[in-house]
Amino acid sequence: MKFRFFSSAHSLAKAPVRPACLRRIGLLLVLCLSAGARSATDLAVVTRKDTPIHALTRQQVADLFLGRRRISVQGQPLMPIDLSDPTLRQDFYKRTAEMSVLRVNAYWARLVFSGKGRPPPKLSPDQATMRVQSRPNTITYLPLEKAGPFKVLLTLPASEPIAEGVH
Amino acid sequence: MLLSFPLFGMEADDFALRGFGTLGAACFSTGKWDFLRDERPDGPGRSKHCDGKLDSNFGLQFDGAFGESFAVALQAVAYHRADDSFTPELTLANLRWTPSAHTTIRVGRMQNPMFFASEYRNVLYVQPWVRPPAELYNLATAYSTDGAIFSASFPLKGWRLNLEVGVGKSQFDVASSGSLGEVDPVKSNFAYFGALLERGHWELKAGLLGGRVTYTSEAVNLLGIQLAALGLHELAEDFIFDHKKATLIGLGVKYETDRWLFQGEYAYRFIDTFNRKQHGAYLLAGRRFGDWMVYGILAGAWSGTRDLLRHLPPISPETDATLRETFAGVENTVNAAVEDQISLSAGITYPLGTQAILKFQADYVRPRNRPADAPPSGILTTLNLDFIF
Repeated sequence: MKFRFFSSAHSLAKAPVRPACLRRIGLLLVLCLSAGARSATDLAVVTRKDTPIHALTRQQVADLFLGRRRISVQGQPLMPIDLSDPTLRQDFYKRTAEMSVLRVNAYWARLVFSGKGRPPPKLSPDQATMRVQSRPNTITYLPLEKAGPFKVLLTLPASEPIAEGVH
Repeated sequence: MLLSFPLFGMEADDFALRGFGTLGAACFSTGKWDFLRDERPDGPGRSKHCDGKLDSNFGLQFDGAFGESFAVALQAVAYHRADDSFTPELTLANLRWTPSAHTTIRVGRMQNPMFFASEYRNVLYVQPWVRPPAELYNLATAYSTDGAIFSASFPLKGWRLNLEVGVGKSQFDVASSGSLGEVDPVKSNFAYFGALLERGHWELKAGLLGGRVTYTSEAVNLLGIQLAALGLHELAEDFIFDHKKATLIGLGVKYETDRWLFQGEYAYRFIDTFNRKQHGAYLLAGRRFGDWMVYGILAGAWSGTRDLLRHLPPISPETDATLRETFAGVENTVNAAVEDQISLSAGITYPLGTQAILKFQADYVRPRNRPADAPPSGILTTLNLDFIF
């Protein structure tokens, strides 16, 4: 068995594979795989502390962010704010709706281009934080460690499996 | 990319300009017959071996929201039309009012909601295939409709039930059997009732559309007049396509996860003319492997067209030439209306980023009607790039 690993190392093409060489390949593979992995974070679904609601179920949150239902609090609808951060967004939809971001995008495109709905505004985590702080009845999701100033309606722990690479 | 802008103090989120499109090419293995019967005048298998116009389209949409309860949607789509042009069609122009958390009323121009993909059939990006199966989707008597639809959504024993009731009218053109560029208008008025049950990965859909259809084709109407003049009044009535009763029933089931997609639909259409009963159905199974998705589709269309030719008086050597010509016209028209075929498709898709997707599909198509010198089946291959922005 022979390897051609570098185009310039013509001599390697004919060289037998050595254990050191295999170790390097193994190390490279481990580095590549670990670069593709990421450490998931706990998420919290939050709202302003004076919003008169105390908890939501996972299904309610999924339905709210997917526009399947409106939830009113003392006559005012809860307004979801989505995040533009792709990692947080993927984790959020996997844990609430069991949907990949690509499926969520396609879901909204179907509704929007049918004239039947519009997606929640998509903001950066900092912008979403400011929006929720400035307005009652708005709701978003954040890493749990950033949820301090807010009322946590639902926690989405990272310990639950997230299928990587599935879109 | 999403273009959004503030207007008159409204928020940027409240207005948006979006779009979608497809750049595609399709090639058919034979030029003897058409792989797809639709309202268009030409395409692969008809006028050329390969064609870029079959699926290519471009759409723009403006959305505006006024407070929490009112929204407007305007959408125009340029696609290959019956008059051989790409003149944009206004496909959405409606006002949406959400008076309560569970109800919505839409008024204006909408797309027919009968089937899973019928409301967004031009937006190929969000569909699993290169184009909706013609065997079923060609049964809709109209897509762009002007009217009103009331929707209600509520939980039902762990499921979510969405009900829709609507009325409307529509008009569209089909290519005339004459020269390229000539069209015959089809008009319809209808009432619609639909139900969609959703739970987790499952969706169950049912729709019923009833109304009246008028097809203004000089050639077909002339046949009706000729048959009436010959005293064949019952037969003549079948060829006078004026305000004829039409019914469309659709049933669908869908199961979708991040790995699997199973989808099937069945439709039955009745129009009180010579072309009375038509059925269409398909089954799709797809499997995602990371970003890739492979799928297969089995589709079929079959008709219960009355055997009108048996009602014609026997032709003898003494039969008048005019009568012969009329009977030949009846035979040709009835045969041309038979759209029975089966197709077996296999495809693969790959997303390019989050707003474009590349699709390849091969269709094996076997029609019931074809010219005597044509092969019994054909293969259509399609490569499309679908995108949204």
